[in-house]
Amino acid sequence: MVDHTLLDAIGHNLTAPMPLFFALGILATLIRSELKVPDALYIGLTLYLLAAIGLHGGAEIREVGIIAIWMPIVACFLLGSLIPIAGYFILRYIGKFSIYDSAAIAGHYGSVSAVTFAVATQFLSSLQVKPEGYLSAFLAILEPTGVVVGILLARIALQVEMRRHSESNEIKKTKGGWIQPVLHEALTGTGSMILLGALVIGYISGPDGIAVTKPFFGDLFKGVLCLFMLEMGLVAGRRLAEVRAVGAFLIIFAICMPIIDGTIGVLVGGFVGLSVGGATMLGVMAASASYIAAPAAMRISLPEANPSFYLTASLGITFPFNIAMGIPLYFWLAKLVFGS
Amino acid sequence: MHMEKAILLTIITERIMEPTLKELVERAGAKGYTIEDVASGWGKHGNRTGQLESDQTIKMLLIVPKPVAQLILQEIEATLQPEYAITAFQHEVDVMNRATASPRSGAL
Repeated sequence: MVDHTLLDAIGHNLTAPMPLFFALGILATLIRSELKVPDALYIGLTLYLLAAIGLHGGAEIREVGIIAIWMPIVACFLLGSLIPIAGYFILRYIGKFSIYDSAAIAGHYGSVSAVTFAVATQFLSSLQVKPEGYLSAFLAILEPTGVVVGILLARIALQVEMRRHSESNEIKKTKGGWIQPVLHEALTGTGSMILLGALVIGYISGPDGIAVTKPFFGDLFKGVLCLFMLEMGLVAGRRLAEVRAVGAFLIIFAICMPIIDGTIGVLVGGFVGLSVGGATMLGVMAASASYIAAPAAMRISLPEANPSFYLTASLGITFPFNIAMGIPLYFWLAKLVFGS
Repeated sequence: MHMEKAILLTIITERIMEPTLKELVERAGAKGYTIEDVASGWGKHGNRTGQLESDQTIKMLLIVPKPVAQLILQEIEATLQPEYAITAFQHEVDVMNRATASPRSGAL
């Protein structure tokens, strides 16, 4: 492992092709270029990335065995539940957001971004750091957990409010659906389905299965990720226009929350016995916010929440922050604390 | 050719409402519908870019008898939350009825 200061790590990260393609996407939106990634290709790239991540993770779990990784799994589950709870209280009582908005935004931060995860693995591999390969399975745990906890928070808070104002009929009954449709959406949406499915396939077919799919899912991965990041830049670029409208508090939240969550993730990762690379990855997962599965689930379950708040925070601010600064920061931290 | 009077109902709404809407129109008595993807849109609910699942839009077309159209519109108003982007409008149309048409041999 090469010795790096924080600035070295950030510099190294910013000169990698993935963040640069992301920047190109943002630039193209800002100067109103006609550059566009076709919708069907974008969906295809999503499928490819999640399938590749899942296959790899599944095969690795088979290598180490599920029993050997129960501690990190429990830690990951706790992280996914506690992050949205903390986020909710910060947004509700310091940021003065509504119950709906607080819960919806908090749920996004409890959930996870698979693309941030993929970019982080590439960053580590460029530094010859090898995280535990089974960590991608944790994406499948964190993705629905954050969303479900976020929605539960809103339901509980509404019950409490209703009891407090039981004399008035101000609060209308929500018709958006209860936990079952939420779970269904969180687990059977395109992203979760392909990720979970590929994990199982990877587990069943093992390293031999990975070997036969390597030319497609292994060697091409970096290139596909570049194209995907270009599209993410285009999508995030369009969100940037709304950043000023969401207010200073949410901007600060969207930068501080990943730093705090990422730090906790790194520390927890180290304490449950992950390597420096593994602790970095757990930090990245804790820090990242979902923008594919979570917005759709939140729109179904909490329609009262304003999508422009949660989309702008997670996609317009936190995602670019993690891609540019967060990933090297969590790595630097993991090495500082657990590196020796 | 036998033509019949009916209502063409057009409903434009969020992609995530698709299952709810399908269930609603079937319950109201619609015998069929067509759903189209909408590329993008802009309105009271902001810029619906169509890039993420949560901001994609669909358009449902139905041809139904007038009472069914009324029932569908009433149900939409009564049961769907006002926070969802939804626009509905109707036209009176003449629809070809193949069930009652008597094919003439040699017409082609």
